[in-house]
Amino acid sequence: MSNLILLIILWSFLECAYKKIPIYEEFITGVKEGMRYLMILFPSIMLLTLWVNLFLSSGFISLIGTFFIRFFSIPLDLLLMAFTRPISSQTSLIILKRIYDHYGIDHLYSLMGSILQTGSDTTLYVVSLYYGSIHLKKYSYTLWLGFFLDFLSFVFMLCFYYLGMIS
Amino acid sequence: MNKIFHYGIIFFIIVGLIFNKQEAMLKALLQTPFDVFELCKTLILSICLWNGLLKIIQASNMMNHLNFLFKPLLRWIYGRCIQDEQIYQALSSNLIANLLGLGTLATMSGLQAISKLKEKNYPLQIKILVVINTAGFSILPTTMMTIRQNYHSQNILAFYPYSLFIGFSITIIGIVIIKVIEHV
Repeated sequence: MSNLILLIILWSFLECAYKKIPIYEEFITGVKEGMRYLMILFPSIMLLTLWVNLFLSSGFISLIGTFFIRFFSIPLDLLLMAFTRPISSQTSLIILKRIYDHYGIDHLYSLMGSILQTGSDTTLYVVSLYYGSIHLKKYSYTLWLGFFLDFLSFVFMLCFYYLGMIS
Repeated sequence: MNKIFHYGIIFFIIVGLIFNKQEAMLKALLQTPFDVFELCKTLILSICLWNGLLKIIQASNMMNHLNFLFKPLLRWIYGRCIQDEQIYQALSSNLIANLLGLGTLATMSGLQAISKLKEKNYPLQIKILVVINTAGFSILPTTMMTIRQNYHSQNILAFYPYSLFIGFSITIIGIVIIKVIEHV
């Protein structure tokens, strides 16, 4: 993996040297362009973080977790992970580490948690970041589709579990 | 989206008051700027670095050597918009970065791609790009491998086939759903 990335960088530097492309100017321009994203992304990140922090601290997540747990024969933490994964990657990672500490890394539930963590990305963050960068406030159906795909990844994981495919 | 943020915050404060979580909520509120600082620090500085490197990679035209691999795939996903060289460069970098599990590079090239798509007026492709990135399909989930290695797992890659299957499936399902909704 590290080799591959370094080889891609080396390849492009060598090709630039061969074509006599000014690497220094290109890099500096890129960094300057990158800095512009601070002003574009900062406000939406601030609002998103405020929303996520209030959501997680309000106790709402434990409430829906304890409500839904009666329908599944899995630990509450796994269910909480499924709810927090599309909203905050950090929080679901904290819950995952709690599962690892409690059951041990090679336990079935730890494996299910790992699958849940890598099965999809932080939908809310991606959608608000991408649309925020082009100043679009109407996300159309993409946010709900993203949440649906997260739900689907949870369903897939449950199917593997109930069908005995994970051991 | 305004409504989700607006009514969400009202709802969470009311729920917090009912469940007597005032202390935790105030703490979370005061913690917000520090969390934002941490997030921006990592995100923006990594974006600067990767954008610098990306400029060099794009200037070298290295990606053109991999055209045979990515052009047909990107054409199926995004349609004819990839005929625009700048859009193609950004979308192919985004795809490669996602597959290699390079989160920040994927974000950087994704942001470049979305601004180009908006500039050239491709609303459908914007939706596809966003949904692909929310699915976050990666063939090298390095973060999870590192965590499992740190916990001394006997089988670090035990999760890998399942997450590969799930990531791939939900990406394809997402693309197909958008194409069906938009009747493409």
